[in-house]
Amino acid sequence: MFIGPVRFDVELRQLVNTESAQALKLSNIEFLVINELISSRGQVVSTESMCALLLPKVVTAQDITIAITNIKAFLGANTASMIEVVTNQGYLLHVKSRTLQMHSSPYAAFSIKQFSLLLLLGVMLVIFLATHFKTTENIHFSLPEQILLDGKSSVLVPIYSSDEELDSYQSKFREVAIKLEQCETLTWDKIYTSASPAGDMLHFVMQVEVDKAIKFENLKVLNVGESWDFINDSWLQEYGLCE
Amino acid sequence: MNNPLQRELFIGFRSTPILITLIFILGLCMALDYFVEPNEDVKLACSSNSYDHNLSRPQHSGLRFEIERIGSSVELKMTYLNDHKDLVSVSGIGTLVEISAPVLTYEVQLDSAALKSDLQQEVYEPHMQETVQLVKKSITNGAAGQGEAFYIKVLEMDKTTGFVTIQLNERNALWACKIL
Repeated sequence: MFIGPVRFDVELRQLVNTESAQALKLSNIEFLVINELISSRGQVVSTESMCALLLPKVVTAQDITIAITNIKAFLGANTASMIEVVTNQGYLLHVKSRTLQMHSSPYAAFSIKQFSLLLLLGVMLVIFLATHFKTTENIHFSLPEQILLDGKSSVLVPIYSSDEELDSYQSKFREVAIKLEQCETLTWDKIYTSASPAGDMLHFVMQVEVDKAIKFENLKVLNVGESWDFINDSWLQEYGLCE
Repeated sequence: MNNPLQRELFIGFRSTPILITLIFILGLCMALDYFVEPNEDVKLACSSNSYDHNLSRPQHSGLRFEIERIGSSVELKMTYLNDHKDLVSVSGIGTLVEISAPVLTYEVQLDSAALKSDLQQEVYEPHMQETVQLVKKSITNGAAGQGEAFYIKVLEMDKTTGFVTIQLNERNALWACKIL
């Protein structure tokens, strides 16, 4: 009768490890326990029934536990798992070894082919998601120049489409900013402004946040000449840039 | 050879269901991307007051600019107003050629245009004339008989409050618009 590589010798009342050629002489309790487990292999043997087998000698559950521990220690780590402790019921000797093959690293359980396929799929998923799911929900553009109006919580944001426009109009927009600063009240949080390349048209976009909503207005100034002197306090008030 | 990588393919890790699941998810994503067209149709309505520096009298003029995108088709309409009446409107229909980043930019190619005028005399103000010329240029100036593309940049957009600020590269125009 074998438990894994360990042979149970009934006549000599010992366990013999056929791999290491070591033997364990069994005590009376150990012999009766292992004999009972082997004869009821695949079934749970209760502690009480094993204690009853040893009568009239008084044996406690503690003695049975010590005997099982000794037997398992001899069987070794792999074979010992064939004896299962069933809580509140007893002990079970499995017919076959339940040992799971352990690997030294998690990658050892995974073939290179499968790992490569998994990696490839992962990369394809990332590329797919990155190229197909672009969000454009809200855009807050970082602008090159925002003129904070002195004494106000507002900004004037000139938009230039080229460096030439920047050179031509930057000083003029700064003058507009100075005039806006002179307004008594400025209701807008942000004023975008731009000039056409020929300088004949000015664009103003004014916006303010009111109760988590954006209020905005557009203003187009047509036929603008070289001079922007018409932009004064009364003009700014008349066209709603300030109050 | 006793190489566990080659010898034991499935022990300790049931990889096949994971691989099948990943292949299924990837296939599903590709199928959805191929078959489902995301609805990115949008209509923007922009209106503006205007001030003509050449006119000394009080003015009640303005402009209205509308952009509508349906699929890859784009329709633009610029209307000049006086006393809340339409004076001249220039409209064009084109194709959305490309959407590029990092500043969200729409490249539009005009295919055809129409001019509608309620003026008694066909004498347009210079800025109206310039708009007409720009549209003509957009249709005819491109290579191989095609129009010259123009660009619409989105400077700021908040879909929750329904507003967008755009810049048109032609004449460096700025518009704040309602998203309809």
